[in-house]
Amino acid sequence: MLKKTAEIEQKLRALFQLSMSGDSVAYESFLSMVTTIVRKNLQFLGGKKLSPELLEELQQEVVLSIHQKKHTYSLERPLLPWIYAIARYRYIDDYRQKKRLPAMVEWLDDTKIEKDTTEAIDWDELLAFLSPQQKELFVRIKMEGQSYAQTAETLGLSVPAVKVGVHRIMKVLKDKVQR
Amino acid sequence: MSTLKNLASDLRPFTPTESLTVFLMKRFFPIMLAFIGLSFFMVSQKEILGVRWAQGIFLLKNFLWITTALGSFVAFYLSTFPQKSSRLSGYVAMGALGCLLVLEFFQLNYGQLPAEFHTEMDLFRGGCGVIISMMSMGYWWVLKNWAQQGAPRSPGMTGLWASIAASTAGCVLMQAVCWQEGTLHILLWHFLPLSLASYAGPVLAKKWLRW
Repeated sequence: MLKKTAEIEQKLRALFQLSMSGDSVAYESFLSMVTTIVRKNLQFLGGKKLSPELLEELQQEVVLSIHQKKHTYSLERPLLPWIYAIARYRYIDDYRQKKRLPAMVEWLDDTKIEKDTTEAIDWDELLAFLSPQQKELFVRIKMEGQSYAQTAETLGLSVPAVKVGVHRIMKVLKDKVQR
Repeated sequence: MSTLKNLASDLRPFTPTESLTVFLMKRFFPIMLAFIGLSFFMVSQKEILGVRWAQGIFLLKNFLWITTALGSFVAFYLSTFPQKSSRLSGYVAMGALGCLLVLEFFQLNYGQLPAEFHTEMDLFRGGCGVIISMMSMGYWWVLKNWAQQGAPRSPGMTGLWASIAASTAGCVLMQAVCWQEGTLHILLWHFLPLSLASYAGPVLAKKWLRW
């Protein structure tokens, strides 16, 4: 077991070192290995409470965080604890956010929204905060009621990418509505 | 898999964030240089400061202030990275600050406290507190901006260490300039900004240092 961990660590470090010089092929392999490691780590952290959708969503968030914060890893230290630390931070952060999330927003997340000009919320004004791609995603899924799979196929994205995209859009809109 | 491909295509050559030595050279040693420069300048301006530099207790207090500042800078740096955690620097900083407080309370003239307190409630004497607060706010902002590039696991703790580091840096510089010797003065106008910053820093950091 220890030998296997050491081997993974060594392989990851080698790929990370290549990535530092801009080798995108090595970086893709690195991220692919990281995705598997993160998934296992999140399963360990969340146990049975973690639904497959949430696990998928969290895994994407962690991989994205690792990508954004890759410069915070220093080569003289082991890599796996760094990955676990980021996964743990994201997991706890997500847990806290969900705890704070009002029931209304949770309901909003799963509901199709009809465009209504008499509403208190000005949707045109709110949608102006989104990028054109985000707007398209939001309109297709939340307003037109298309499925994730259908939207993913039309836009040439993966289903998890669409799910993560919608989740982020809802986060942005929630912030704007609360302000 | 397309997400990974997209992320990989985003990749540009990158270097890890600066090491602890570089961080200290850039952000802590300029304060030390300013402290030394200010001390030499002020000694030539105020005779009393020259006398105080010959006192062991003044040297000890300065040593403790500098140790607190250095310890909190190191603790701040380490708290900004996910895999770096060492409690030693934090213990050193808190230990030195604790010793400083004990020393000040030990020296306090309890019999003269009301009269001293009345004297200290002066706008001119309170100037130290204002200057330390201004310096620490400015420096906290610099440290906060630096920490935003990192990945602090506990934004509150990082904010706390940034507050302590920034305030003690201000206190160290003020030690070279301030010629008020009263213990109550130090406790009120040098420690008070530090206490306030230690409260405000984590609250603000939780808002600004999330990633």
